[in-house]
Amino acid sequence: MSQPFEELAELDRLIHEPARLAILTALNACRSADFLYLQRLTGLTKGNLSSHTAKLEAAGLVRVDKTFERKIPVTRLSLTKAGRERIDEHWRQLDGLRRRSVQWRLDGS
Amino acid sequence: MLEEARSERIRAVTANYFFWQGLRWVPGGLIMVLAGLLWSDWWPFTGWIEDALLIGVLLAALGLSAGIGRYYRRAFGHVSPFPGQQARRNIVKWLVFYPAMVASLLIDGLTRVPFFLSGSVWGAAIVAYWWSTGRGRHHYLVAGAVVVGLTFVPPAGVVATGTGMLSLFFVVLGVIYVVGGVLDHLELRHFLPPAPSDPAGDTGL
Repeated sequence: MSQPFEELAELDRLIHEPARLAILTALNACRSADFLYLQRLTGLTKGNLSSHTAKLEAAGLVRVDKTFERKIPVTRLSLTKAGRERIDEHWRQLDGLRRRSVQWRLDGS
Repeated sequence: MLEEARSERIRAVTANYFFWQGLRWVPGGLIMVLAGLLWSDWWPFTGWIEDALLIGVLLAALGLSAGIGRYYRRAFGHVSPFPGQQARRNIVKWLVFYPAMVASLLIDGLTRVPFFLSGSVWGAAIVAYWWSTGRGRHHYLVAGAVVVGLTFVPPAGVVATGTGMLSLFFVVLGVIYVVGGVLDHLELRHFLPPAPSDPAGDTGL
């Protein structure tokens, strides 16, 4: 069985980056969220958030829809089916890792 | 690593975003306070002044409510929940809590039970509301305890059961809506602080 720090190195870095993990976690709790909500949630500037969402979109994890509401541009983001599966799997991995690291510490002490 | 508590909070707030927009409850709270005052003995207005005041407050509350919704959308952004996400909550609400709340009010208003039953029932409903809308916001636990405490006001001899107690109940409930709503809003602001660039409008991407 691999040790927790080895498993940590195997985590998907695209998803595990804190801002992207926050974005995906939020989108996994709803059908869609707009850019402003995600910006306030992550505390990122528009440029930084755009850069992160572009990476997630390029990986096929996030869908970006641009529309107009009362002449104001609105950008809505939602998870793709693959995105939902990946973030669920990622949290399962993290939970397992957390449990095993506790066990590893107990075994080591 | 994104802390577990932070990720739980992200899930809770995003999934229950509407309920965390606390200023939405303030107009309803003001109406409850007014309703409670209407039932009190010292309410000074009658006739057309009373009617005009009631209609005015209702219209103001409706307008305010719509404006508050727009404010949250513009300032904090919009989240579309999953369809049917609140289905289980709605079933419990409509089949258990609402009937129990109405029944307790009828019992308190029409009979002479020695305690104020609505206090316990509505207090439990407030705690259930807190539980089912993402927890956090611990002021609702305090509010639930305060409302449950009203159960024992008549036996303590402070206010007799009947109209006087219902009046006090609605004033307290209205104040809880207003204060709870403001505290919800402050907690949401803390969780979703202003973005580094101008949050008004959406020009991202």
